[in-house]
Amino acid sequence: MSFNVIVVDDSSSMRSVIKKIITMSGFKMDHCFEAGNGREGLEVMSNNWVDVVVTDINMPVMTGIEMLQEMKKDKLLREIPIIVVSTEANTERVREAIESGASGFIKKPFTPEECRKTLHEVIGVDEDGNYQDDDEGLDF
Amino acid sequence: MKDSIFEVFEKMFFVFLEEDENAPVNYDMEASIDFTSIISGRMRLLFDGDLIRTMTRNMLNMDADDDVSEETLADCAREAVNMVCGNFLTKIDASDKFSLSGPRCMDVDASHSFFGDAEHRAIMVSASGNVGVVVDVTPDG
Repeated sequence: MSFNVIVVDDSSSMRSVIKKIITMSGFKMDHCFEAGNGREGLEVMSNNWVDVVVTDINMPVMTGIEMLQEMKKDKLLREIPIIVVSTEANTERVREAIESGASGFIKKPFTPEECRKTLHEVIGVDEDGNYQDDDEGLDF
Repeated sequence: MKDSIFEVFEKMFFVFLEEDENAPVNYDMEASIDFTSIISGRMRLLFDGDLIRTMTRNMLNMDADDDVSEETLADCAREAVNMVCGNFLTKIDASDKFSLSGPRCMDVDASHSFFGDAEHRAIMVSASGNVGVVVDVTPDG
C-alpha cells in the first residue's frame, strides 16, 4: 500500500527537502504533490486524491492554519490527516495547530525516522505501512 | 545557540561544523531573521560561497557539478536562518509563543561589517566552508 502526499510550503527548497526526507525514510509514497501556500494546497486537493498533508504554518496568501480551517469545513477534505511542520514548535504553536485540526506536528529540523513515525501514526498504519486492522476488514 | 546550529546543519544540510574562533572571516551571503520572545532581536547567519553551495546541493540532493541558481541559494540560506533561530528560541523558551519575521537574504562582501561589536557571535568551520553566527539582542527586548 502506498500513499499520496501533498507538501505545502512557500519555500521550494523546503518542499524538495521534505520530499527527499520522506523518500529517505522508507515511507511508501506513491505521488508527491506540491503547493506554495494554503490556497494552492486546497486547489490541488480539490482535483487529486491525497492521503496525507504535510504543511508549513507561515506562508503568504493563505497560512497553514487557515488551510486547516478551510479543510475542516469540507466534508471530504476534513478526513485527510494533516501534519504541521514548523520551526516554531513551542507548546502554544502545537496547541494552535492541534485545535485547528492537525493530526501531528513535526519540528524542523527533523530526521527521516521522525518523519516516517509521524506519517504512520496520523494515517493509522503499522511500521510496514499496512492498516492496523487489515486482517479484520477483509471478511466479506 | 551553538547546539541549534550544529543540529540544523547536520540534520537538514548534512554539514558537520565545529567552532573555530580563529578561522578566516570572509563571507559572501547573509541571511537574517528578527525574533520576539523572552528576548528580542535579530539573528544573522553569514555563509561563504562554497558552504552555501554545498548546503544547497546536499539539501536538494544535487550532484557536485549541478548548477545552483542564486535564488535557490538564497532560499536555502533563508531556510537555514529560520530553522536555526526557531530551534534556538524553542530551547530557551519552549512554553512561550515566540514570533519570527520572514527571513531575508542578501549578498555581502569584504566591505560588509560581518560582526561589528556583536556580543553574541560564533565562527564555525566545516570541510565545505565557514559560517558565522550573530545574535543582536535588542536592549530591554
